Amino acid sequence: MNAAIVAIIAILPTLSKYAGAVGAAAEIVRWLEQLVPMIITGAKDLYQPVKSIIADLRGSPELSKDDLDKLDVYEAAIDARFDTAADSAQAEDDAADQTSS
Amino acid sequence: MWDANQLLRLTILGVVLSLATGCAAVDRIETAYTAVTTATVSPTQVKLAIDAFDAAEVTATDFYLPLHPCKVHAAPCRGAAKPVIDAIRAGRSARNNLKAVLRRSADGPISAVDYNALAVATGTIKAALSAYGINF
Repeated sequence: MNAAIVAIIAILPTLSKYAGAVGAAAEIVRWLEQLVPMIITGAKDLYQPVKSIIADLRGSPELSKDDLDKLDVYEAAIDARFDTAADSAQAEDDAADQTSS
Repeated sequence: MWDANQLLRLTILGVVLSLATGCAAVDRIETAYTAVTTATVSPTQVKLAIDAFDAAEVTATDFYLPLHPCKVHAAPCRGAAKPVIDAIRAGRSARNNLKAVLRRSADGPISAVDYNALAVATGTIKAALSAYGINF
């Protein structure tokens, strides 16, 4: 198994003790920040939402114009990847429908 | 079957979002999946809903749509792509409307109409993927 997965699974029981606790958001932010290096190396396209969730939990100020511009660029990329995957999946479904009819 | 890199990505996303949705201190994130009954929402709620939707879109792209249809393949497989595709395209439209509102007034209350459309789309995607063992 990938070493990063082992590391993440190993910290899960530790994380659960923070659920519902006072100050839990700060603890979760700390753990999420520890995951960031693994996200960057193993799941780069998840970095943006994770970074954003960290900011949300920290109670960061509202989105600036610059933040929104960066979000637009990120979302254009994930939308394009989705469209490609959607076209392919829909074509496969259409072929499966013809096979089974 | 998923390879190690795909499992890593799914695991990370699962950790992040299950923590976020399971913790009482941050339970406001749960509202990102469900419609609200108020007439307006805060920019913070909108931002969380956008984050949750983007994570759902990435998850559908990477872990659901690449699976083969269960109609002709054994598990791991997926249901029809169309409901998820439709939900994501509806959610995108609501997300883009919300971002346009945020650009106009970053700190005022925002009408709940587009917020609810986005939250419902994310909830639909979450339910559709969950039925095939993909949880986020």
